[in-house]
Amino acid sequence: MSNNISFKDVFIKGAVIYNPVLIQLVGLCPVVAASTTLARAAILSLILCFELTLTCVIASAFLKKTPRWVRVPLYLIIGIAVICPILWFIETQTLMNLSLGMKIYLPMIAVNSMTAVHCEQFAVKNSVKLSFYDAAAVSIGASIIFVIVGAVRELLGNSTLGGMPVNLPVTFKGMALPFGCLIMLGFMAAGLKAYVSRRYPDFVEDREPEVKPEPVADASDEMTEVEVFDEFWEEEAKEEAPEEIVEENTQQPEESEKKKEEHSFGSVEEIEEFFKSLGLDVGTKGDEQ
Amino acid sequence: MRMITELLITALYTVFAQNLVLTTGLGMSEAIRVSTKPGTFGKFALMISGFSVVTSAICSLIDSISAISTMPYAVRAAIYAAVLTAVYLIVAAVFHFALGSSKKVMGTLGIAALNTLVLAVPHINHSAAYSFAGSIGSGIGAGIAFVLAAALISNGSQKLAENEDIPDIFKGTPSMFIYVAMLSLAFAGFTDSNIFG
Amino acid sequence: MANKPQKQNKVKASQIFGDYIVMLIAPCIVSVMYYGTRAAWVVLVSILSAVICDMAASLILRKNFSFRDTSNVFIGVAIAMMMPAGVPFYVPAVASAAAVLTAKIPFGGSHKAPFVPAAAGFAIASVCFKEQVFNYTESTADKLLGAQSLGSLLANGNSVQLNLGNTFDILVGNISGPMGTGCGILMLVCCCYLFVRRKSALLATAGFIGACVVYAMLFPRINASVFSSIVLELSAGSLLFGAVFLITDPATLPKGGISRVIYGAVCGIICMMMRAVGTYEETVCFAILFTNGFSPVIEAVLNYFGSLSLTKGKGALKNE
Repeated sequence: MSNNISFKDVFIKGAVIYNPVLIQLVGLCPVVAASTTLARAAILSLILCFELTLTCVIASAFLKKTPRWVRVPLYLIIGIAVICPILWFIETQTLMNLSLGMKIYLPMIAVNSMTAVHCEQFAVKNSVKLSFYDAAAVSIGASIIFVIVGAVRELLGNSTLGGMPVNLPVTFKGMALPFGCLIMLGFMAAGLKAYVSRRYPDFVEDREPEVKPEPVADASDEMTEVEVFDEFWEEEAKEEAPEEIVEENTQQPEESEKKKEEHSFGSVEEIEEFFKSLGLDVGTKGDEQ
Repeated sequence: MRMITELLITALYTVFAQNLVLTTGLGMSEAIRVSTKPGTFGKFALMISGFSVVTSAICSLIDSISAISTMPYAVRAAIYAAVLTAVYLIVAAVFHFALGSSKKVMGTLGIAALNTLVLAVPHINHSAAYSFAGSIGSGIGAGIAFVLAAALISNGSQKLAENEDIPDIFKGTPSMFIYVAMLSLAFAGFTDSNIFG
Repeated sequence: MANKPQKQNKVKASQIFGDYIVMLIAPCIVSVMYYGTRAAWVVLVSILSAVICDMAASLILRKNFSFRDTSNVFIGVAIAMMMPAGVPFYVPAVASAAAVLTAKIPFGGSHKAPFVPAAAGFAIASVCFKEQVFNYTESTADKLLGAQSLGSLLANGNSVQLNLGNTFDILVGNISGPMGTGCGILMLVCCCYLFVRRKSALLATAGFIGACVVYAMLFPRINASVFSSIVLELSAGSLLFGAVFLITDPATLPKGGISRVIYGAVCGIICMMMRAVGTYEETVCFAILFTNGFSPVIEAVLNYFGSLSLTKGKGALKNE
C-alpha cells in the first residue's frame, strides 16, 4: 500500500464527506442516548478517539493473520481493556460523579459498530500508518458531531451549557430524549449534504467508479472477501424468503426493486466507492464483521 | 407460574413500553443496517435473542454473588464483556468446527452477538434489579425489540425510497433519521423517562 | 361492507385539506364561544407559525411556495384545537413549526408524509411542554368539573355520576379540556360531512371508535357503569377529534377497506393502552404516530392471511 496519502485527504473524506455518524450511520448508540450534555459528549468523544485509534492500530499491526471470527471479539476485549481502567479511574480517583446512564454507555463504546466497521474493513487490510489516519479522522469526525449534539441538547433541553445556566425563555424537554437527537441529526445530515454537494460536487454527482481512478490501488486481493460478503447478504435475503416471518412475506416480490432503490437512498454505495477510489476496500455493508 | 408471568411481563415491557432500540438507542446502527435486508430478520431475531438470553442469564447468576454485585462499576462492566465474549467464542467455535458454517453465517453471528444491545442487557438487568426470570424475559424482549425496530425501519426506508417528492438535501440519511425519530417519538407515548433515569 | 364495490365520491387530494378546514370552522366557533378571544389568538398564532415555517423552508429549499397548500392551515388549526385555551403562545407556535419542519417538509409535503404532521407536532409539544399542554385552568367558572379534565379524572380513577344535566354538558364540551375537541355532538356533525365527502375514510374512524368502546367496556378505569365508562373515555381529551381529523389523513390511511378498519382498531387499542400505562393524559397523537409506523406491517399481515382479495381485488377502495 503506497503511503502517499496525506492526513488531510483522509480527514476530508473520512470525517466530512463520509461522516461516520451522519452518513455512514455508525455509532448512533452513544450519540443518541448518552450525549445529552456537553460534558458527557466530551467524555464520550475523548474515550472514543482513544479507543478507536488504539484498536485500529493494534488490529492493523498484529491481527492481520488471525481468522475473522476470532478477530472480532478481540476488538471488544481490547476496547474493554482500554475503557474499564478509564472508567475505574474516573469512578474512584476523581470527584466526578457519573450518572448511571453515562456509566452504562461508556463500555458500550467497545462494541460500537464504528470500531467493528473500521477495524474489520479497513485496519486489517492496510498499513499501520493508514489505519491510524483513518481511525483518527473518523473519530474526530464523530467527536465533532457528539460535541455539537451534546451542546445543543444541553442548551435547548436544560437551558445550561457546560453546567452554566443560560437564560433561555423556552426549554424543550424533548431534546433530552432520543427523538430530539435524531431530529437534530437529520437536519445536521441535510446540512452536511448541502455543504458537501456545494463544496465537493464530485462526490455527489460522480457515482460511476471509473471516474476517479486514483493512483493508490493494490488491494485487489483483499477485495474478494468483502465482495463475497456483500453478495452473501443479497443471496441470503432470497434464500431465506419462504420461511420468513409473516410481516416480511409481502416484501419478497419487491426484493430486487428494493435492492436498486437502496442504492439511491443509501450512502452505502458512496462510501464503498470512496474507499475504492482510495484503493482501500472498505464497504460499509461489511459491517457484518 | 409466577416466574413465567414475570418473564412475560418483562419481555413485553422491553419490547413495547421501553423498546430498547427506539427509546434508548441501543443497537440502533445495527438495526438500521439490518433493515436494508429484510430477508435476514428471522435469523437475526433468533441469534440476538439467543445471545442476549444466555448472556443475561449467566450475568444474572454472577450478579447474585454478593461479592461481585457490590464491586465498582468498571469491574462489572469487564465481567459482562468477558461473559459475552466467552459465549460468542463458544458458539462461534461450535458453528465453525462442528457445523462447518460458511463465512457468511459467521459474519451474521458476529454482528448479532457483538453489538451494543446484547452487551447492554446485563447492565439493564442489574440496574432494574430484575430477578433471574426477569433477566431471561428481558433477553428475549431485547431480541424481539430489535427485530421489531428493524422491521419498522425497513418499512420506512422502503416508503422513503419510493417517495420522489422528498427534497434533494433530505434524500437518503437525513429523511431516514427523521423517520426513525418519529418512530421513537411514538414509543415515547408509553413513557417519558429513560430506563436509566 | 368492503366486499361490495363502493361508490366513492371523487375528491381531489388538494380538496381534502380544504374539506378539513371547512369542518374545523365549527370547533373554532365553539372554542371562541367557551374561551373568548384568547382561543382565536391561539388559533391565529398556530396557523401563522405553520405558514411562516413552510414559507421559510420553501425559500431555503428553493421550492415554490404556494398559498394553495391548505395543509399548513389545517395543521395550525388542528394543533390549536387540541391545546388548552390558556396555553402560552409559544407552545402552539412551536408545535406547528415542529409539525411542518419535521413531519412535512423532510418528506416532501403533506400528501406524502408517512406520519400525520399535526399528530407529530402535538406529540412533540406534549413531550417538550408537558405542564403547559395539560394545564386546563383557563376560565373554569362555569365548567362542570372545575379545572379537572376528564382525562385526569379517569387517570385518577374517579368518576362523575352521570345524569341528564352533566351528560349534556359533557356532550357539548362544557368541561375543562382541550379547547376545541370537547364537543362530541360537533364531532358527529363533522363525521356526517366527512361521510358525504369521503365515505371510505370513515372506515378507519369506525374501527378506532369501535376499538375504544370495546376497550372501555372490558377494562374500565373507573368504578362506574359500563355506559359511563364508555361515555367518559370517548369524551375525554381529543380522542374523538383525533378519530375524525387525524386518523383520516389521506397520506397515511391504508388502501384497502378492511385494512382501514383494522388500522383504526389497532390505533384505538394502542391509544387506550397508552392512556392506561403511559405518562401522558392525551395519547391519541402518539397512538396515531405508532400506527403510522405499523401500518405497512398491518397490511402485510392482512395480505398474508388471505384477505388479499379484499384489499386488492373487487373490494378495494379507490386510491384517494
